[in-house]
Amino acid sequence: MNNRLKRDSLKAYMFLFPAVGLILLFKIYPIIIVFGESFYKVSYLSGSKVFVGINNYLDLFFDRSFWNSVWVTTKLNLLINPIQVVIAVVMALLINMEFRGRLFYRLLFFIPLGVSLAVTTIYWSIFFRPGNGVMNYILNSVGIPRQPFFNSPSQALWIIIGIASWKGCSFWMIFILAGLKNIPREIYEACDVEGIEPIASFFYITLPLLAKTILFVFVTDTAANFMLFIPIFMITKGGPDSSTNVLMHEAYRTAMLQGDMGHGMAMIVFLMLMLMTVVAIQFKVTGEREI
Amino acid sequence: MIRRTTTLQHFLFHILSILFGLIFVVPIIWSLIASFRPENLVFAGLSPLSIKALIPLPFTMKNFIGVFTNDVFSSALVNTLVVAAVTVVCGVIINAAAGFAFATINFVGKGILFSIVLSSFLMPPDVLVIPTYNLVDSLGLIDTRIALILPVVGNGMVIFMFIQFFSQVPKALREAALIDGASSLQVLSKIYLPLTLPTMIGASLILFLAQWEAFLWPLVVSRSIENGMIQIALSTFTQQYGTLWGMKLAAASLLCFIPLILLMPLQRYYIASVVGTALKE
Repeated sequence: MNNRLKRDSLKAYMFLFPAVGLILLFKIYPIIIVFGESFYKVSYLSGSKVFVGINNYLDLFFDRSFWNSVWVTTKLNLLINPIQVVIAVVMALLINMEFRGRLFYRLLFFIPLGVSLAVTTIYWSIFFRPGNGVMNYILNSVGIPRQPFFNSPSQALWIIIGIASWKGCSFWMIFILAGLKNIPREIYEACDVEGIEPIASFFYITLPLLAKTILFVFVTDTAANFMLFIPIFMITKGGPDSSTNVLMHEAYRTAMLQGDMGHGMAMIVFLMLMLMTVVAIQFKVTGEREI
Repeated sequence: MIRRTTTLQHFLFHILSILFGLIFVVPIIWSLIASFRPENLVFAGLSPLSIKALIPLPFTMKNFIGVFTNDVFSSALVNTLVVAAVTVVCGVIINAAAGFAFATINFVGKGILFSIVLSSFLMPPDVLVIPTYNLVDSLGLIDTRIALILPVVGNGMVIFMFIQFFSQVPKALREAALIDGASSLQVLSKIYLPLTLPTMIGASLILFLAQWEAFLWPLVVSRSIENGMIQIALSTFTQQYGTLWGMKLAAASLLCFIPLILLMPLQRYYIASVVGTALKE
């Protein structure tokens, strides 16, 4: 190693140390902690820690509530990610069109970017209030009976999906919008000259050229929704009948409320592995052709 | 995208856009208006639905006064602003420094450290909240302001933004300054940082929103009123015997209009920063 590289390295580490040190401590080290702690059991009363090997994982295997959470997390993600991506694409296409007032609409479409998920949850929990909520009034006035919404095991998850999407779609839209802006205008001008229908040009030009952006959004959106927690924690606490008890909420409840750290950690490990598998599959299925 | 569109298509675009727009605007506007009505009339005009729902009469400031004089909420507001301010200032400085090193200096271990930074921001942060709680517990920092700030300050995404920007600055500029006897620190502070205002605004907004919207982390790490964060403090208006809806909506309106006022004029920078890091991976 020559002297110059040595001197430069030292200098670089000084610049890097604060930020990279914090990242190593708070973003990387916890990954090691979560694996390590999942092999221990902490006694709630004495606070002492005992090595239990893979017992926490074995317990999970026979834990029905855990498997239910795995299923709810899977179901939520199978529904919410395609919904959000499709709506985000539609929104991005809309405000990318050239028609009067689109700047105004764009401003409106950006609003959820500044609204936190907790506040979003409050708004929509009022709207969907079982009994005398606004949505029930609207349904009633067109002759549909009152719905229980988040008091019903079959509807609660849909309400959670709606709340998360109100916030999520706008966020993912800005990525799609940037992808659209990267498509050269000349291509569309050529389409116009050739007399190609807009719908055909969307499927044969826009969509293929947008594939990489959409894949990115799809993967990041999945990662975000695997950890969806706020609306579930605020409205349903996982209920009714555990129908919204996603893995993240189950892990929080086990580790923080019941104080069973070892089990909670094992759940987090499972959640991380599950997410990594899903992302790998997404890349394999969609990625091979385009990236 | 240019397209020759028919009047019918135009009409459809407008209908769809208005529909989306209403879904985004109505909850915010309604809750702001409702929070100016007295507690017993907050839900006026909703069922049956009438225009009364969107008229702030009888007008009262009681809910907002109540929110600001509520101990839990007002101290959470102060704490959140302090935490966010410290996070923004420290975060911009240390992440810019790290980005500067990655972009301009050749050093041992660059590849490994870069992949660590990259993987840290691809990992959704909430998944690590429980092990991070363990870590912070063993450091003896539970229920401190430091615990709210430290894990958020070092941010891989912000580092990445600065790397991208700094690698576009011509190398000749730096070399000329070094020949003239400037130190690396001077190169960063006198040449690079002044050029990077848009990136700094974008980074500040990202860090500010990270703290403003923080939920799961303060939920597990903060206990006392002084260390409360606003998103959690919203629940203080839900009490054993029911919810104080007027105050809750007033608080929610504050939580949404403060960042919107910041974001609206600066949205360009925010979007460029968020999108820029993503699409250049």
